[in-house]
Amino acid sequence: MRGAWTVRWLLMWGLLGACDQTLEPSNASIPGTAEEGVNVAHAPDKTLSEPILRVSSEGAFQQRKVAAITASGEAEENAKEIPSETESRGTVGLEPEVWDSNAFTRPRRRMTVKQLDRAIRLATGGIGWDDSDQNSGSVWVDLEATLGVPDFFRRVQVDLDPGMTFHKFLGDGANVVCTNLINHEQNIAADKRVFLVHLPPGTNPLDDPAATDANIKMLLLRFHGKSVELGSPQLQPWRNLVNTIAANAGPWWGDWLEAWTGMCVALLKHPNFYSY
Amino acid sequence: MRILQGLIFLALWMLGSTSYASGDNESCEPLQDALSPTEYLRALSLDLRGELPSLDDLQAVEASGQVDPAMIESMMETPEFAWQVVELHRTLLWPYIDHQNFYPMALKQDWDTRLYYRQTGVVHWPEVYGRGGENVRCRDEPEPDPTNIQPIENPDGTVQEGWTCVTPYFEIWNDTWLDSDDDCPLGQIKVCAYDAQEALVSPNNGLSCTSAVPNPDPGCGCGPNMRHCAKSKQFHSAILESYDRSVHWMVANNRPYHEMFSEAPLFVNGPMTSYLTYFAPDLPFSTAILPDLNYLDDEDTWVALPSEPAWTGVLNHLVYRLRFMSNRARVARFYKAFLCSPFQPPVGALPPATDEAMQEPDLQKRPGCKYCHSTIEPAAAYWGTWGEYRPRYLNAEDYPDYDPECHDCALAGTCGERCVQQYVTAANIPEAVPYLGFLNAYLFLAEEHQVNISGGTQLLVEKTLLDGRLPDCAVRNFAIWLMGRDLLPDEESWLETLSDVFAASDYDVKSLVYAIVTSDFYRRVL
Repeated sequence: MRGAWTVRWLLMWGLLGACDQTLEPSNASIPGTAEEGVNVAHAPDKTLSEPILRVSSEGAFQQRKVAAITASGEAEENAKEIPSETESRGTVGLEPEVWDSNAFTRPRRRMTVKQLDRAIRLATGGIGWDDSDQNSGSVWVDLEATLGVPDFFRRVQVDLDPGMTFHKFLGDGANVVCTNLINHEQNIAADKRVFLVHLPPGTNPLDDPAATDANIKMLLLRFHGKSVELGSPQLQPWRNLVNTIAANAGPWWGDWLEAWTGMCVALLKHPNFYSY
Repeated sequence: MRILQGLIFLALWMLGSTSYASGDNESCEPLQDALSPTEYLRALSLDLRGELPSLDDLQAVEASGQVDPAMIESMMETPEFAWQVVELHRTLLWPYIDHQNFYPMALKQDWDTRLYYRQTGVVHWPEVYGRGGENVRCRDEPEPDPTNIQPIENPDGTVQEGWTCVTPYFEIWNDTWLDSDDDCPLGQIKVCAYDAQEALVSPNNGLSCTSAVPNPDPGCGCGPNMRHCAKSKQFHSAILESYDRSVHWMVANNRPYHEMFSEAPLFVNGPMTSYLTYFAPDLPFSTAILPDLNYLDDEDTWVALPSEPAWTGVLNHLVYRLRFMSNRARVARFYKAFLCSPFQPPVGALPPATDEAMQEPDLQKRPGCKYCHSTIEPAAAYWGTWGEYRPRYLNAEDYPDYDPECHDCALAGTCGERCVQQYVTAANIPEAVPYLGFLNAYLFLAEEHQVNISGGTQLLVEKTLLDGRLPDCAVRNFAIWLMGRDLLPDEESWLETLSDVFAASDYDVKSLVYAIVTSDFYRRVL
């Protein structure tokens, strides 16, 4: 009784979450390796009706696939054509005793400070977080020690922790860069613009939803490397962001550009931008 | 029963949450077990070039639905890829030399008067510059005749000369107010007259004023255009970049990985040439092989010196030797970073320091210590022709393996700096007596290991290449770099496959990186 409840509880736990997804069974393997042809640990059969939990050897649920193999090492397709009797050689596990659930998966990694600086400049067409007061170049360079860049004496390892300090400065940088970017975009020719590509600065995004969607699609590709179809539900949160800010912007002509500034800040502060 | 009720409540609550989540599900990004083609391109570009892909490249991949292998190969042919590999090797080689004051003629500028003068103190003797007192500078008045300095004597016994204007070889503000408080013409600085002297030989004692080790005679200044003096850390950036370029050379020229360690040429630019010409003591080569590069004009001009096994490669580079100042430190870093074999004695292996056996002077035999030092001591001999703690090459002519003078002075207790620093002179340790007068690297070195001294780091690299430790560790380092974490036991067999790829390509870094980034493993991101 207790076991049955536990299974149901786990089933429901699996369903919990804002973005519940079911992983399709995968036959992916590591080509050219000893694991070729063997399902790797990241791709277990996770159908909800038959949960498989791969845990350490101490874990309670370790479902193993067990198969009988014949003397020839292959399943018999037609027993009549084989005169000899099947010789049992016992059972063998098709999977290792212990799978590390993280094996053969790469964790998302935060950009280094240098990558971040260059990525912002490339995404914005050259606008970076520069210290204009002191004319001393990139602020990111000044922040290197604070953000975990090693000097190889006192610190010898690169700190890629996306912690609070990182987010504080990323936010500061994004506010400066995005304000400068949208101001810059208003003063250059259409073919030079990198942010407002599908609709001009003079067009309120609320007045041209199709162009707004096209622009958002382009920005997600440019900033996050995300390929999203027009009409995809994945555009909705970004569209809501732009439209909400535009709708609440000031009464003067051009105030809707705040929406694109906000979009720019959101893009830069999103994990899909600063990690990969 | 209460537990059962609680579970039912929890289940109902979760069902409610689930239905809410399901309603919002469509706007969420789908979970995937591999990066999409455009995300894959983005990851590749960030790892291989250190920057985002262009929008055009992203749209091309979006249209085709795949990353063309040619696109990956072209990324690895960019200069940025070589610099990415340099970045990786910075985390392994730990380039840092700011802790070292390895060129002693440090110039300083007094901001109030703008006067340049040679610092006194730890490095320099107060009497060096003739003023007779520590931190005594010249007067802020022009010296009437800098070729015949007439200092003023102070009541405390010190003397002060005036200043003169000099066009220095190094970079200045080129602003008369900043450079000389408007006392000198544009392009010149205000220098204390003793320090501005140009004599190459001291008029007082006939000794050279141009040796890398400063001549403390008041008749010696900084030479023509101040070329024998330098500001603090003036050459550091050039020397560090020279180090990086040895790694860069290996990638950019498609050389086998191991050549970086012992065969990569030494790169020099204008400042580096200036350092080697006027400041570096006991070079392993003649300064005649240095190119004619100008300090100011050739900062971005890099020239590879002709290769010579005794002193080329990153393991012999000045930065490696300064960052890891003792031969044991040089071994420890190499073993940990490039052989993936850190030195760590077994738990409880070290006996108490009071144990009588701990008096054993040979660390290869001392209990506990021997677990590491039986390897470290013979390996340290690979750097045996380099001095420790100072950038000095022990050439056979000036530093023979055995020097009878150092042997004799050790017994007499009269050794000078040269013998004390580079030779075994510890006559008070009976076990060391057979080694008296030999270079330090010979101390307690078994006969079969003495070849390590003459073989140098090239022999070390050859041995570890042949036994597979060097390439196997390189594979691990590159895999960790691109995967962003240490590898798990389940993934070890993958490393073996990569090692085969690496060896089959003659240790070509690009082939190795290509094999890693085109694996499903690389594309599978959590």
